Amino acid sequence: MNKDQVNDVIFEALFPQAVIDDFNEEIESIPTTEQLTEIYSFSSEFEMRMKKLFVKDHRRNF
Amino acid sequence: MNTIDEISKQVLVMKYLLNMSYKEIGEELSMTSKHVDTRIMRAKAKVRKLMEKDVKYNE
Repeated sequence: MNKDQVNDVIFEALFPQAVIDDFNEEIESIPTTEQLTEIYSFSSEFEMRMKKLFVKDHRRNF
Repeated sequence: MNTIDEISKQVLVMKYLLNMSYKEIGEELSMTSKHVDTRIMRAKAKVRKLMEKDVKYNE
């Protein structure tokens, strides 16, 4: 096996793990629910409006 | 891996993380198996090229 072939084999062996590692890194970079709540908080008026819309939609389905 | 487009990344995750077949990936993403294969090959070639460039730069 020459050097290029060895490099090919090594690359083929490592590539799947690189994909998995990259995916896990991306998942871990997503903030937790608590952090998201701190960053993005809705006003009480907004929350009330959304609640009304959900109730309206729920009634429409029945 | 950040240089790879989102669809190709999805294909790679489905293959290497979820162990889906080319047919299953194709059905999920509305592409042919051949297209899935091409996406994987191109992604590998891109990463390989960047790695080789990086190695040369560090030498």
